[in-house]
Amino acid sequence: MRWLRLLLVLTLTACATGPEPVSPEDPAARDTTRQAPTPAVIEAPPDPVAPSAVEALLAEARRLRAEGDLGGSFARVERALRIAPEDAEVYLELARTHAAAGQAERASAAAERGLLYCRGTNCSRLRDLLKT
Amino acid sequence: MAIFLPLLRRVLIAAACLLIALLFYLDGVITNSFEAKRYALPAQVFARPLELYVGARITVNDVVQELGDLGYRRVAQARSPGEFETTSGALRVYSRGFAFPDAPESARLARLSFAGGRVTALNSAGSALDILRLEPQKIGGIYPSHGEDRLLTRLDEIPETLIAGLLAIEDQGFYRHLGFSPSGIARAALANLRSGSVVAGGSTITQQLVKNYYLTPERTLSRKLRELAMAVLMELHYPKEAILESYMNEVYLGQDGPRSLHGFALAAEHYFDRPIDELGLHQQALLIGMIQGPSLYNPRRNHERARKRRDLVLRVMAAEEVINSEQALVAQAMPLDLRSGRATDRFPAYLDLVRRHLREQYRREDYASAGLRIFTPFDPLLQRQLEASATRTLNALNPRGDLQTAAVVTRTANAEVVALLGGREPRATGFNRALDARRPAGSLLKPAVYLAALEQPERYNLATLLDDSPLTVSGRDGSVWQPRNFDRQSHGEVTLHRALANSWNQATARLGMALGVPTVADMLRRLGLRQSVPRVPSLVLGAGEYSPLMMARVYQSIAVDGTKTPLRSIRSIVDRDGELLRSNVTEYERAVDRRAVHLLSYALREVVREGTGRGVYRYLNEDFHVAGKTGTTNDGRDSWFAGFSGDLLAVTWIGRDNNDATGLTGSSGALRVWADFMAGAAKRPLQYRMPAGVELHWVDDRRGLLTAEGCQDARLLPFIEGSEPRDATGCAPRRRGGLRGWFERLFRGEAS
Repeated sequence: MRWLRLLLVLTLTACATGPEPVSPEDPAARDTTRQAPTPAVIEAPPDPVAPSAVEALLAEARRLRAEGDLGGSFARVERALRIAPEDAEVYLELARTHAAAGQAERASAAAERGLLYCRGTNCSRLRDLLKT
Repeated sequence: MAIFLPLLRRVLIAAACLLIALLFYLDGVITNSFEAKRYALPAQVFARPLELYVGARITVNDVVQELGDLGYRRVAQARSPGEFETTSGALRVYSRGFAFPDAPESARLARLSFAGGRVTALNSAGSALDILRLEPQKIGGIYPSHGEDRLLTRLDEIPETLIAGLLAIEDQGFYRHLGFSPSGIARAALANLRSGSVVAGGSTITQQLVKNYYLTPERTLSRKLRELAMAVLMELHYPKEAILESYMNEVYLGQDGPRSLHGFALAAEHYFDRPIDELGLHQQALLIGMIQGPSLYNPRRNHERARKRRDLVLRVMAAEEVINSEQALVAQAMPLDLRSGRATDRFPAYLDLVRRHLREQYRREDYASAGLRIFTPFDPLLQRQLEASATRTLNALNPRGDLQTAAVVTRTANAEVVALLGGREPRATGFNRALDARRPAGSLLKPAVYLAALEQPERYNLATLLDDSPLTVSGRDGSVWQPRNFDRQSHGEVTLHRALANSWNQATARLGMALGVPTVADMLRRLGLRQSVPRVPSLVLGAGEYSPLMMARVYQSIAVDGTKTPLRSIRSIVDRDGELLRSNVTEYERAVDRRAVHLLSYALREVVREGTGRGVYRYLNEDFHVAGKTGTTNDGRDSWFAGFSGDLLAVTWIGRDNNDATGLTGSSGALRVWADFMAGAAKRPLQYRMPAGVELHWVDDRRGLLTAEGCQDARLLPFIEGSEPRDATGCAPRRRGGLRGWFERLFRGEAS
């Protein structure tokens, strides 16, 4: 029931248009909906953005890493990270580049971030990069 | 007579020796410093380049705004770099290209389509393009102390008509003379004689360059002679092209506040907002005409005089056959075509931050005159939204204008500072409150207390009951501290998450005392606070001195699930030859148990759903998940809000410089700037899954006991595995079969 209710609320609020206008009164004094936050999992559908731009950047990053140009690889990953901060693939490449630079700690920390967004085989790849 | 001759000879010999010595000295001056002078360049600071790709969340208007800032011209049909055209829902942009440190981006004609606030198609030369990277805006320079700004250009980048026109006006014999021109001097002398005062210089370009480089502006005979000698020496040492190029980069063309504008390239940018190779004839002529008196012919102040001077230059250019008479007529019919006036250091507060980060890495003389190119993550579009939100809110709260504000915005994924507000008047230089205000943080520090508690799962969880009754803490020095709740009420036994969501001081103070001040201070340090904090009990309620930037550092660590990443205002630094000197890379460093941070994030989301921060949903859509915390200090001297979405973190502050009361709370002041900004700027809600080792349980939210769904006061909360309450209410879980039960088990990760 809870799920259905939540779904309903979300659907309804999605129809509401834009934020309300600013009024000088204390907003906290107004009774806005006291809706408990959904705990934990908010697994939204993957962003329709996850665009060819990210794929292109990651492909370049992988190629440069393979050629040993870690600076070039990092630069591409950084750009990908700005475009898609919730894409596990980006964290995987960041972790691998750190690992290639001999920075196991940083690789592990980046992989850990990726685990928050991963699915499928990506998760196991990220777990492989965790510090044991 | 015979006695005088040897004396005369001696005097002459001595004079000649002296002259030779002087020439040697002057020669040394020139050869030692010509190259250095030629290339002394302030650092240029760039904003982030706007990256456009299919799926990018940006509107046509924002792109047009960016193109406008970059000096692109809107035309009917884009044919050359720096032009764009708009059709309904689409743009055709002819980009200029840019030598980025990672890879050069070439100029290209691209077509962009937009729908629903996103880029829906991107094509160039008939095929799909992955990314179009526009060139970055220059947001300011970092100058040597004398304030000279310049942009270096090579001679072959300067339009030929500009060079020829300059020579026609300033020095027709440039390619023939040896540094000085007797006929020029004669002409000037005649003019001076006629008028009875010094009205004309008759200086060659070489002489003018010598004067600018080495000499003081006074008009004495000895200085004039020195100038002549040095001009000849310069001509002997260097080719004409080097002298001309240096001149074109050095010539003084006006003033912009404390900054003096040198060289045609910088002047082109300043007056016309265009690169020098895109200047029209009318604009070239205006700049050439200004050399004689940059202040006298300042086109902004003395419009008509500047115009007449420009037209005179055009006539001379035609007479000297630099251009034909038809071109001159067309150019004379053009308006002055100045860009709209705006200060060049448009974002002084952000530049302060860049300067500070530079100072940690370089000596000033190395970064201020070495011609570095500094690439920052600064986002002008976000900055404008932040300024607009602050202005809107402050004008509503305090139209008279003595309230102050400050804000810091970061992109959480890589800890880049993307916008920064140093005060209510964003263009003002001076006291930068985002960096330099030192204020108590109030409840903004509470998350550090709760995080320290949640990191001890054997003692604390979100459902742990805390005592919210009044308390008195006696210090070792005999001082007495009696914190009270903001609403002057006590709430009895409350669960830990509610105490944070409602920002109850008494419960928090008790929790802080149980943990110990050193534990809380240590948590702040681990979260990235580098400054020392007062080791007193009131620390747990925000005592101390903090800037918005420091708070951004702490909340940044919370936003990226407990990893510490230094805030960055510099992406990379390139030297004048395009060589990459430094490139910053995102480095996460685990600082706090991610499971504990996950629980804290839950409570911070509760703050905005049910607690003191729920005013944010007057601005944000209900389904847009964010987390945040309010902060208020005594009598509302400081109103704080810190919080984050899936992409951005912002810390906002409102208060008065003289520390007087504002009557505002965190939620009635700073929250509104925050929420107004996030509603427009944040594109991603929080969305991530629970980390391993966290699980959900139903608990009785009054008694802190395990219970079941549907029981009284039941609430589903996340717990670190094994830290859930031991005792249960006895209310039986209603076992549900069928489809619904399966869905629920799926949600909890039980179904497979």
